[in-house]
Amino acid sequence: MSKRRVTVIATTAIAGLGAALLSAAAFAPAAATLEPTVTNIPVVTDWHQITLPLDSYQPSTENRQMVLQAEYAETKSCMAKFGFNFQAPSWDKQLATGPISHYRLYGLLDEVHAEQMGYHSYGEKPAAEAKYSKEQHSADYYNVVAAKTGGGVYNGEQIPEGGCIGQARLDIEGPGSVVDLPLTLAFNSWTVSNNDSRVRAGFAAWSKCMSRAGFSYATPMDANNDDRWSGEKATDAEIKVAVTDVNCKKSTNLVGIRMAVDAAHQSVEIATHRSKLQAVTGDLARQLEKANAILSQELTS
Amino acid sequence: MKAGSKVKSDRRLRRAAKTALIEHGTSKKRMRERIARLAFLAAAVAAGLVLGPSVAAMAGQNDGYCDNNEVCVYSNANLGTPRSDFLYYYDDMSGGVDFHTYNYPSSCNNLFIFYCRLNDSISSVDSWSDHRSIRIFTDAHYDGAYQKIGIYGRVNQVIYNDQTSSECWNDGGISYSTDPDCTFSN
Repeated sequence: MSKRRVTVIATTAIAGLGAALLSAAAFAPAAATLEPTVTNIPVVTDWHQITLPLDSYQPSTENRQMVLQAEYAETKSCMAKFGFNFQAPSWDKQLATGPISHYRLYGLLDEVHAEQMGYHSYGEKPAAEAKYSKEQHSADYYNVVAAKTGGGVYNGEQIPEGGCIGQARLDIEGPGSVVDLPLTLAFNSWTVSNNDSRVRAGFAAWSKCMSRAGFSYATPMDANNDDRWSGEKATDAEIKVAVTDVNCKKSTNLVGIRMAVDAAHQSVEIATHRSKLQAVTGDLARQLEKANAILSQELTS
Repeated sequence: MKAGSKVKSDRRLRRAAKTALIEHGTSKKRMRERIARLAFLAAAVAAGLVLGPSVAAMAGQNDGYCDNNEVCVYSNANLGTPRSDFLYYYDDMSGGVDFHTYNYPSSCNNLFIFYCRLNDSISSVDSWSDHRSIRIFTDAHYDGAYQKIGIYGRVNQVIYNDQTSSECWNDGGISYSTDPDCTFSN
């Protein structure tokens, strides 16, 4: 027996034993690690059900939109001083309202989407976008609006740091690091939870479900990221895998497990960074107040 | 580079070459010979055999240069090379045929080979879009965790270093209920 064959058999045996142990320990935290306790695993069959503790530290879509409108108003007036006309982006007609969404945070869970286009997105290039590829701003415009070529002086005026839009963002949002904290923490917990023993056990159960249908993937990310799905549109093979993936996620409650474990890790992050997160809440309120004041002034002037 | 883009690029190349020759008052015979040579060069470009920096320097997406409304992604932090530029969303940086570096080195420009790919190796992003915010995701097809970048936004070090696999802008052409990840506030 070759050395390689021995290694393969030994690895398979260890992996099998590991999977069995993980299954047995499914929802209890691993003793030797610092995995937080998960008290409740909700059944999640629809992405709308996904909510996480750090969501409350992020602005709602409506509030964010108000802040952006104020920033664009300030940018426009700054650009005018340099002799440029800044056109604020138009607003989408069908905007989300309410809290932030987690559509594919734990992978595709929408069976209709899977049946129609596999893992691919609905996104298409609308005809209205064609004009933007031809639109030309001058190098000076880019430098004044966002200091793309280093800022400096234009027409005898000092370009603000980060350009006009950089100045507006700083003025209304303040230094980014504070407000970005919830997003950074959320990403950290998402990453850590992917390696949590309970999530790994969930991946193993999902993988077993997929293998029963003839598909070999260790995690849903592997199925989603399969290089064979890189064409412009979904193939029949992709659709079959995506539909099976969604069904297996539901039958194993993988998204419920991932959400519960992620939420537990987020709660630890919140406890660790409580004072900084309280500061974020205060900063978001101040941003909104300032945005309101700017937009009210715009209306009256 | 997609086939359609190649054809357009070749047409531009032929047109530019022809104009230049006429302006220099070259004789018709020499002009025909040179046009033939340039046509051969254009055909070679289309066949993916040659793509030098001078051709790649023409403005447009997938040329290694940030232009109007494009998003540039960089392998290194602080907008360090190698880089790639694109105009629209990119849903699969792992398998997408255009998603590789351009001019770093130039041998990557027309070849889809492993070391030229930028999948899972993006460290910084520079958006030149004047009307679309973008989101960059850890996994392909807008899956996983994401980071937001506003119009004209620049991120010198992404939160998810070396993990980005897809990018999309808020697409006003689709309803939020059908594609929530790529339909979001500006």
